[in-house]
Amino acid sequence: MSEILAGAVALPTLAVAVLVWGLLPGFVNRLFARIYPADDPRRRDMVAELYAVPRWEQPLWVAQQAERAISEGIPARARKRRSRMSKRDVRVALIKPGLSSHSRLVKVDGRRIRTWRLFEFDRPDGEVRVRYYVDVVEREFTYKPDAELAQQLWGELNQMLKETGGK
Amino acid sequence: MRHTDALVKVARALCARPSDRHWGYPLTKVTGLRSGALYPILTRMLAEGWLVDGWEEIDPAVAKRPPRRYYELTADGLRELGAVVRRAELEEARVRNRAIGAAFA
Repeated sequence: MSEILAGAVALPTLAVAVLVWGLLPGFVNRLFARIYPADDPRRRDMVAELYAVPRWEQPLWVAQQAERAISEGIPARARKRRSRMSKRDVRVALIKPGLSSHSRLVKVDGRRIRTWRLFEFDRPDGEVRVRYYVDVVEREFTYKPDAELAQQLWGELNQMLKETGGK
Repeated sequence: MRHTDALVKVARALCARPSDRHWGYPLTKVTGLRSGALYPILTRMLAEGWLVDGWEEIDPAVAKRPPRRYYELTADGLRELGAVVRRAELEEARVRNRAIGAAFA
């Protein structure tokens, strides 16, 4: 009789253990990750990092991600909604020949000066693939720079930077 | 960036191995910070240009998991965070000396 009772208790316990340490951490983690905007690298980061966490620690780690997702993700969504950037504006600010490492550049947008980080990589076919951040949202596009136009635009931009004191 | 205990812990962990790649979960273990404290600091360091990030070079189909994100110190970051660590060490030395002075007073 006692074996029957022990068996009856063990099965639900086993099911709960499988849920808590098996299914739920990954599922709930992905739900929290969706709080971040769609193109935010932190979404992928959160999902991928779970695989590095030991199984027994995953439920607690996932619970901590709630704090992170809510404190960062909701403001990120709000900022994304507020910020608008066109490819043309970015292209004006980014045409600096010979750039091969991260730099701080200034975007000219009407009367406002905004800053962001730029990472630029040269490709052998002459196109440049640009990965950049606006706040912490990662964006990427490719373009073929025209050297003469690039020099001219960069000169104009530098002049504007001096006049406005932008960094 | 405000000089908090959490920033000092992260700075120490990053500056201990300045040319290595740093990963999120191991950093939580080394610093003792929970994720909700660590990752916003890393995000702010990225925005300041003190860190650069990248994604693990693996084939997800082979590894059966997605690539993880890593962080690397930049030259700016090493300089700034090195200053944070030195300032924290000076402050700790000052507190220790004060305590010793008080003990012998």
